[in-house]
Amino acid sequence: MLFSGTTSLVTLLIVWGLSSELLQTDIFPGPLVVFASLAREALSGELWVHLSATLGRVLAAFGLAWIVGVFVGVMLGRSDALDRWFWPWVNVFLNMPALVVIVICYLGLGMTELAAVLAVVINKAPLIAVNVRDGVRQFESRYEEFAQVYELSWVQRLKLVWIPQLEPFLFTALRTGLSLTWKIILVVELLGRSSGIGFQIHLYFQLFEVDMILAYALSFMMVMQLIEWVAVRPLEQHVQRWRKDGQLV
Amino acid sequence: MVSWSDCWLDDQLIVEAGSIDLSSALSVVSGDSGVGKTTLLRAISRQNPSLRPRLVFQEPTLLPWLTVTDNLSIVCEDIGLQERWLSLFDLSEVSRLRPGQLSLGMQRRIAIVRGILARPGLLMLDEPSASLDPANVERLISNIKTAISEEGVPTIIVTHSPGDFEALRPTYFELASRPAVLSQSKF
Repeated sequence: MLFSGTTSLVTLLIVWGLSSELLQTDIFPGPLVVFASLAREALSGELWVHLSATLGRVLAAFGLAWIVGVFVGVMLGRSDALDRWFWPWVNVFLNMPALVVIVICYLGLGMTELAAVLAVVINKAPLIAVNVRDGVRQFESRYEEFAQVYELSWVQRLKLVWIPQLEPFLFTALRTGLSLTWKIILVVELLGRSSGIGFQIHLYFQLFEVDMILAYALSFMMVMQLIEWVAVRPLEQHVQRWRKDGQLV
Repeated sequence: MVSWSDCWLDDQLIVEAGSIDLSSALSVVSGDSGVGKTTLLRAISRQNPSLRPRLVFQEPTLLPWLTVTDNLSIVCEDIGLQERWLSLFDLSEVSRLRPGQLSLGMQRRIAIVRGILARPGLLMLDEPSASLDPANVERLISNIKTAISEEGVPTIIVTHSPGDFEALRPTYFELASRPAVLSQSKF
């Protein structure tokens, strides 16, 4: 129990608080100041406006990136010809700096919501595609052969054979994709939106209010952690419970 | 009669064309490891789709994320029929378990049940007794006997231990030489 997750987080807060006390500087406020600012923003209603704006963008961008990434990943994983041809493209997009994509999208489409979401999709879909492609390439040939010999339909193959084998890769893509998406969304908001956590961070940067910057950043970190605890982890444990079969407990 | 054409792997001839008369309920094909026994079964499976051949693989290919019942439901949704065959194979108590919770012997026997439930015109078992202890081999033989008598489906077993199946009075074949040629033999 001494090293549980909660103990670890409480220790981090204590270290943060002590460091802040020792440094005694405005650019490093302690947790009490930051949480007080967070509570103030929550009570005024301002926090929820910007939190929901960012969350909406994250979900829209990640949802689209997910669809595109899974489709491309499956295609590249299943076809050597497509993989040979398009893999270098995926690599180019994978290594393209997010900032460049964001600027190009804003220049091309204007400072619009569509440009903001599209920039994130272009930036994140390749990462999801790489994960899914690797997963498809590791499909076990014996299950493929079983599906062929027993004449399974495409729907059966998808539902019973492919998706279960792909699950670990989908969850990895979900975790890394979500955590990276919201960080890029902040940059997108900082550069060209008038709402969202990124916009608020930009605003308080100009006002030099570090406690507000940390309060807004912290609020979204907590939301992402909540999504992990409430949705991602329970779902992962449920669909992958068979992996513990035969293991000593 | 089931026949096959020459089986090539890259540019190497592995098994020469041949045929097996299926008038005998059970045919046992033996041969040394690596001679091409599994290749022969795959060739029969691919080249005779009209026979509805169902291959039960040496390494059980039960899907580990599904329960036994769900694995059987892939090929047959008739729960009554599933229960009947699980009962005939003494496996009723494991129907709600997943493959990872079962022994290799049990997984092999469930794979055979799945093969039978797929309504095959020809059932082929690849090394069904490999890596099993004598008690499990005995149980397996008894199950195969039940399957043949109940379903009457022609069955081909490939094995490097033909003696395991002597009690079933099969027709014996041997796959030998390189490229491998199938010929009738006596045990």
